[in-house]
Amino acid sequence: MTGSLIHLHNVQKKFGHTTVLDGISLDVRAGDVMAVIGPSGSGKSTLLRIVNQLEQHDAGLVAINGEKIDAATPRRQLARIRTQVGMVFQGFHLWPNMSVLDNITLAPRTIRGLSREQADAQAEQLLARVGLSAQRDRRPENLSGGQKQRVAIARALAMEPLAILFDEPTSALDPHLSNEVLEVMADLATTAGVTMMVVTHEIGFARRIANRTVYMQGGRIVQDAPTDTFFEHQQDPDILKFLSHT
Amino acid sequence: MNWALVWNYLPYLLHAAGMTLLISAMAIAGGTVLGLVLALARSELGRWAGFTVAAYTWLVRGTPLLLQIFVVYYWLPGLGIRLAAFPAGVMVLALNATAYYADIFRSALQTVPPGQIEAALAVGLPWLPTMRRIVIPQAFVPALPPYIGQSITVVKNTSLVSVISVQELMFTSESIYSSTYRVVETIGVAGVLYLGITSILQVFQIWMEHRIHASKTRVR
Repeated sequence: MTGSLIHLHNVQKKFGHTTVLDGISLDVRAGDVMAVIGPSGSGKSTLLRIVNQLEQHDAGLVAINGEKIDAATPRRQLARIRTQVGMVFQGFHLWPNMSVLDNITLAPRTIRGLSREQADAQAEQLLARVGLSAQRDRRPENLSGGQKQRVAIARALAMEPLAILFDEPTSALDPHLSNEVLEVMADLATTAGVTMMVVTHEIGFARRIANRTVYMQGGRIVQDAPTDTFFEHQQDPDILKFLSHT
Repeated sequence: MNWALVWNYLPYLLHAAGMTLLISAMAIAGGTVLGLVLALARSELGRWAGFTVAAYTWLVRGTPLLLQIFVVYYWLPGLGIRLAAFPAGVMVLALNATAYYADIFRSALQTVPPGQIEAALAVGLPWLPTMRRIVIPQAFVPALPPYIGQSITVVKNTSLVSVISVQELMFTSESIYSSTYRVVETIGVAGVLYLGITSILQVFQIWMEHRIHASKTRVR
């Protein structure tokens, strides 16, 4: 558990009578880029949502940077821990009632106590990094899907988190818009060394940027391997079948 | 018709209209704050708070306002709570409006997609700024038309507190026509004054909707 930013041990989750996660154990260390792949309904997104407690697990251990979190964690402590783990959603979830800049600066100003000038300066750097400097004063609804997702990435980065969770970040996008988002993520992974956990259907992308690949099926981790080994020396017939279909 | 006679009484009617405006403003303000508190309690505080709010809404919306005015004005003194007509009237109107506003706000809050709140949780934003900066501003747009509608009802409902002799527009009109016997003229002027007050709210709604529309289409 020491040294892992995200530590899960034997995590169980049921929705009603359906077991969604059945004994997940996992460690994400600083600098890891972990791709989580697998068929729909395998529990990938639920796993990600449990990491920052948008869902509560029924049993097992979840710890962020050594701090245990579960349904009993006080709201304030949970909020503090969540600032250490950014999240990027499939549906973007930008706040439509404020500008792009305010979407990025709201949390730093409210939680980290940055002045408007400091927060704006930081946000402008982040917007430059995701290639959206010209859009700073626009409303989210005036952006394309790919631009929205890049703003969402900048918003997550603004809290300077230890790791960022990506929940199918390109699934709602056309292929040509996906690419601009994937390029930003690749840049973060390779040049900025941002720790990431990425649930994705983009197998090619996972292969290109992830250093570890986790394959899930039926609420279990079937395989957790270095990406090279996973793709080049794959033996598991189920995984080979999955890879051949995508 | 004898408009000249009514003209003499116009200062009294205008003063009474001022009272109606004051009572309305206080009832709307009190009802808005309490309604928002109840709506948030119902959505955030779990089953018992939700049940209590639902019971309050059921009780208040299910009985006539006139009856509620009588309850507060004639019943509460029996329990040792003695209120003058004006504060009693404002209180009943505010508490009555609270039930309607709470329901309007609750349904408006529900229109904000859960992803909006999840995004706030995910960056570690506490509850209050999440509500103040993200949820309530987005719920404002769907809440506006029914909110203004209910506020107009509050203005018109102020006429009912005349029965406990609060000297607002309706009470004053009645006193004037019972001494002058000029019912049609007096009530006619009162009607125009009521329309003036409710028009403020309708103009406010048009202005706000215009602003919301403009802010949406604006590219700064």
